[in-house]
Amino acid sequence: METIKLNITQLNTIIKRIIDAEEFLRVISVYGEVTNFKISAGNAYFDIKEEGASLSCIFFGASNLTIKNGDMVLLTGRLNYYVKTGKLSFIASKVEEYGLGELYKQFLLLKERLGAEGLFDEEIKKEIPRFAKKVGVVTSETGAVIRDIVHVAKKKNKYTDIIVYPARVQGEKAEDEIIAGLNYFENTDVDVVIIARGGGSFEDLAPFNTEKLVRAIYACKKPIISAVGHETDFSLSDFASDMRAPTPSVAAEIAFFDYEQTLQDLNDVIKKNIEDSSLIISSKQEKIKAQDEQILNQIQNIIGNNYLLTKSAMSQVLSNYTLNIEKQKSNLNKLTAVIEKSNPMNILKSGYSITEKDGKRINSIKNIDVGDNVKITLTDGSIDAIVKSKEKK
Amino acid sequence: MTYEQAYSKLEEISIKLTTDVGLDQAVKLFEEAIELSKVCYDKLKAAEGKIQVFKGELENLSPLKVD
Repeated sequence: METIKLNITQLNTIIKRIIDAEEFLRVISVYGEVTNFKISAGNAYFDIKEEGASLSCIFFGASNLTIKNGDMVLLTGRLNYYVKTGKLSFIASKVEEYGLGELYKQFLLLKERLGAEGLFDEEIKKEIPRFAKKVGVVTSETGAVIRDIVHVAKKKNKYTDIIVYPARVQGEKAEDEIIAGLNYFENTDVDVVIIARGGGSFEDLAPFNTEKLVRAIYACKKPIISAVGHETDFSLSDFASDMRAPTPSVAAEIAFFDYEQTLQDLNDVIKKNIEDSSLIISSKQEKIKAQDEQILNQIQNIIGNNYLLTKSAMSQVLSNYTLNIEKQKSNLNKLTAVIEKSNPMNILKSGYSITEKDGKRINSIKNIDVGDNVKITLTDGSIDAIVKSKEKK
Repeated sequence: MTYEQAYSKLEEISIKLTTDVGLDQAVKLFEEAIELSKVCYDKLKAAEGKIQVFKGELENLSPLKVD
């Protein structure tokens, strides 16, 4: 590609057009420290600088301008590129003191000091209750902040009470009023406290950046949600609080639990628990039932065995008893046979006889006299006789 | 009297009947044995009856119903 050759005017004109065409450069604010300040023909010429960069500036009609070298200023105006000199200047139409530099430094120093003391430590943060019944709010009673909070609160949960401690959130008295609000809620039964304010300049947020408030937050026994300024703003109260919310609305979202959703969640949990436990119960019941059945079977076996044992013991008794009786019978028979053998009647069969006198058996002639009546028993009957004589052998 | 007591008495009688006991004594022992066996059978029957009851209860056990 061939290089375009231009003269200086042509090049500078192009640069000027480019700069002028850039819309956001037409009104812009820029800040820096004033240096090389001088007044010439009623106009102020100076540079603003920061570490590693500087910008030359012009302010036309500088009779009331009170800035001096070393001041931090915020300039509002536009950029102008001079074709003639090839220089870029910032044409300031408004010059403001830009105190933020010093204030911000102080803010950082304080943050560091209090942080080193442990006032912002994560370990000391209190848990924000999931189901607050009462929420305290320290903020201005007028304005969008309280409106936003109430709006969110109503939407999420009409049963959680909201108590507002009206406090100025800007200006000299704000710090003490916010602290008074915290002290007030300390002795109530609120579950959580929101301290909130809407967006504002760094100076506007100053009451939320004081050591006294940080210490009050640290000392407060209630969980605190801090929602100060916009999402991009960070205040010391944010660091000291138990939770930081990017905006007051979000603070309310956190503090007020969603009633309907919670009910639904609870129902789901209960339902699941019931289902789980009924599964567990029925599986346990099955196990118990199986075990019961096993035990019953075992008991039935024991009973069955004992039936058999009893039966066999009894039949043993019966058989022993029968044997016993048989033995008795046989003993008796033997005895009878012996007795039978010695039965005197048997002797009579061979022709012997028995002689009795007065029912007594006569064994000797000594026991009988001539003329006695005697009874002679034979095998088939008896004879009554009178003794005629007796003779000794 | 427990089942075990009745049962072991029954065994004792059975052994005694094998020794030289007299007839009257044998008869007495036999009568006693019959009584004892009755005790044993009654107890077994009662145990069986209980099992039937338990079985019925077991059948009626059913898992928890959830709506």
